[in-house]
Amino acid sequence: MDFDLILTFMAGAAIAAAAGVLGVFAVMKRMALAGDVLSHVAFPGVALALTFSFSPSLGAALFLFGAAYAIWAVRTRTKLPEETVIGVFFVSALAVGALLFAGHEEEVLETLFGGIETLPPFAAVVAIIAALLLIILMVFATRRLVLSVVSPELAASAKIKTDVAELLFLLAFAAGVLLGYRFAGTLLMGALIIVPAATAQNMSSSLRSFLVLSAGIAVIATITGLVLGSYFSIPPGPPIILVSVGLFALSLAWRRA
Amino acid sequence: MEQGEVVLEVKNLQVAFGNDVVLDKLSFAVHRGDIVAILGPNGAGKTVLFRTLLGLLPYAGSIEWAKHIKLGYVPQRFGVERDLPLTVEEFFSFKTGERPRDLAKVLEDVELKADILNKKLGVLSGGQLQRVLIAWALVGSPDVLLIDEATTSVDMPGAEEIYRMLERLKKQHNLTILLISHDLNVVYRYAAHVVCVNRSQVCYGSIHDALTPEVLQKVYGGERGFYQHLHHEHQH
Repeated sequence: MDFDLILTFMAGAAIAAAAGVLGVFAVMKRMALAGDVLSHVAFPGVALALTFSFSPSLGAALFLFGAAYAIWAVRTRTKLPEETVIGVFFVSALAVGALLFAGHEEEVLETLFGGIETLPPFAAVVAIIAALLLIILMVFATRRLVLSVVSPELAASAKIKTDVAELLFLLAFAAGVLLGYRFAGTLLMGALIIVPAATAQNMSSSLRSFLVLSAGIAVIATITGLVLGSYFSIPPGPPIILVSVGLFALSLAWRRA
Repeated sequence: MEQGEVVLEVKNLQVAFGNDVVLDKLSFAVHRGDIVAILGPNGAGKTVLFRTLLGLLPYAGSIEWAKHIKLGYVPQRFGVERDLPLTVEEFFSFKTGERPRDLAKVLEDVELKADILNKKLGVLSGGQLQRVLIAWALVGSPDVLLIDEATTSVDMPGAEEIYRMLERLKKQHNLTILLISHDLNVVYRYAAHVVCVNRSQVCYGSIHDALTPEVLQKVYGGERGFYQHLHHEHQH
């Protein structure tokens, strides 16, 4: 195994761990579907970048962070449910993406389902550092996020700004998708955030075990998916998600036990 | 009855969401060691009053807490899913960011055993959850407890126990308690003073002076027979 590949696997594992941690809060906020959908917003960003020849990651970042902020702003001003707002953003993103992507069919598949086999070393190191920072941020924000979910009133009485916690979470979610979409694809990155967390929830009795298990399961699924992807020469996104779903099915048996 | 120092003085309070005035012309004072009931029908603005007192909503008029007063708050709405992997102990550690030093004491205060700490918050019974929430509010020894409908999800005997417990805690810790309720029985049995709210202030004073049949008619609208059938729960 060459050095670049090992570094790519390490980046995959770090991103997966971050996705697992993010997923805990997404599942807790009942954002399983909405969160998945939010990840697709990267799609028109990449399309825009290809059309005007700038970095696809920059395009994805613009759209993801822009959408996260816009969703937050619309929601706090209108008090509409998060999933309604995210739903509207999602269909807009798909429509814009489909318009812009005309003539880039190969890139469409790669953006949707992930295509990366090896990352350049610099990109891999940046991804590892960013993923670790994201995990630290989420652990640091755990108290604020959990209290905002279980009782906004209690959170407010503990001097927690629930609006800020909400924005922080959406931006962190966008950052997680940005880190991982080249592995798993925009269509499947949301699933890597959600499915391991849903699996871990079935097996956990405390928040601590929920966080650790979710991160661990995401890492196992991602490494297995990357190995399968390179062995069968297929995009890594689908095997990553299928392994996650397999583990979820196993966790259902655990839950019943 | 001798009254303690004034811990809260509210004058001409008004709270509005845009053009919708939810609370208007509220003026009352709360003394140390008092149990004050906030009485009113659903949608009267009782929870809004609490949120305003906690400093969470903008308002007109004045709210003056005595200096160095610590508040504890027990919310009415508390949605924890059964499946949520969050232990009671973790929930307590979220109050300040670390495991409270007085955790054993506050659990004893609400008559809960320490083994509840390892349980998931979502599997507690209504009564246990209510006690956990009261204990949560008691962490850090507050001077004043604001309790929003202490017994919404608790059965009748359980509710009695919780109110008796609150009365005992009040004596033990010289607590001042503001209590939202729409249950007249509770108000009569445990509160010394009452503020009736139906968007604006309908009454204020000691229980027996303030709660005249006319006042109750005003608070609860056209529902007759309310005053005469005090033993029935949740009349409106």
